[in-house]
Amino acid sequence: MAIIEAISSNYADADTASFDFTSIPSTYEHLQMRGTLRYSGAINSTTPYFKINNTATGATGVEYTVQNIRGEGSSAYLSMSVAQDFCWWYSVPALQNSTSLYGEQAQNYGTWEMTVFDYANASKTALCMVRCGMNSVTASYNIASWGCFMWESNNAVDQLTVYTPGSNWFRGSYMNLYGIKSA
Amino acid sequence: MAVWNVINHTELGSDGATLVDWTSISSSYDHLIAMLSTRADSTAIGESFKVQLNGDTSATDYSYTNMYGDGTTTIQQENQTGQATVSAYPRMLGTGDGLTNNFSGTRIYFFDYSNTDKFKSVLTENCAPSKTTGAGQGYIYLNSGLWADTSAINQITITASSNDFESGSTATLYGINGVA
Repeated sequence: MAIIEAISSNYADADTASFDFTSIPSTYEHLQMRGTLRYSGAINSTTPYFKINNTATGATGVEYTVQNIRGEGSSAYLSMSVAQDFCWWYSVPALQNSTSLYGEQAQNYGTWEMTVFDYANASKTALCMVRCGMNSVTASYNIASWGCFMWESNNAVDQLTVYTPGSNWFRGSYMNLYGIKSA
Repeated sequence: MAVWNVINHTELGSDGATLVDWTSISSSYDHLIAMLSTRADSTAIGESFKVQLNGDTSATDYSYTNMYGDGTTTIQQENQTGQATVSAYPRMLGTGDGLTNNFSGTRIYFFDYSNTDKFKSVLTENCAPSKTTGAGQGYIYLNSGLWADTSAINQITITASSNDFESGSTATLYGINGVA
C-alpha cells in the first residue's frame, strides 16, 4: 500500500491565473504540494499568494500569519506578518517571463514545496511549512527561504489555491498535490 | 516494495508529558522521518520539547546547531555540545498565543539510522506561528543534531521540556526505503 499518493497534478499548458486544488479528500494525515513557478506579469518577479478553502478575507476575523527565514543575495532576513487577509510569501520563487532585469532566461523556474500538517482535523488551525528557492543566471537575485504560514480557521482544509494577483503563472509552471497517510 | 512505510501513528487522547516513546524500531529501513502536530498544555506563549535516542538521557552524547527566529527580525543561531537531547528547542504553542487550537508542525529526519559504523545525524524543521508579532511570539526553527553513538537507533522518545503536550497532538513515524 502506498503511503504517499498523488491527489492531483496541475500543469500549465498555457498561462494560467491559478492552480486550484478543490474537493481535497480528508483521507490522508498530511498534504504536500510541490512544483515550479514562473510568472508572466510586468514586474521583475513575484511571490505566490495562497488561499485555503477559497478564503481570502479578514472580515470574518479568520486570518493568516506568515513567517520565514530567507537568504537573498548576500543578506539574510527574518520576517513575520499577522492578521493577513491572505497568505503571501515574502520571498520570490517566480521570475517574470518577458524581457526584464531578471527575466531573460525563459527556462528559469522557481521551486516550491509545502507541507500541510493534519489538514483534515477540524480542531486545529491549518499549519503549512514551506521551502522554496529561485536563482537567476545573470543577475544577483537569488533566494532560498524556509518557514510557514498559518490559517486561523479550525475547518478541515479541502481547497488550496495558488495565485498571483493581476497576472498569470507562465506556461510550464506546475503544482502537484500529494497525500501522506498515517495508516 | 513501498518506499514510505508507516511504523506508528499516535494521537494523544489526554494531556501528557511524553508524546511518544517508540521502541523496538525495526532496522529494515534506510531513513526515518517523524511528522508531528503538537500543542502545549501551558499558559505560556510556547513550550519546547526534546528528542532523545535509545533511552540515552545523559548530557554528554548529543550536540546540535540551531538557526531560529521569533516574531522579531533577528535571526538567532547557537551550537552546543554535551547536551541531553539531539533537538533542543522545537516549539509548540500554548494558550499565551491567544489562539485556541493552534498546533505547531515538525518534521524530523533520522538519516541512515541503523548503520553501526556512523554517528547518527538528525535534521529538524519546526514551525509554530502565532497571531501576534514581537519577541517570544511565533517561532521557526531549523536544527542539525548529532548523537555521537554508533548504535542503531531503535528507540525515539519525544518529551515536553516542561508541562504537557495537549490532547490531540499527533506523531507519525515513517520508515523510508531505498532500492532493495
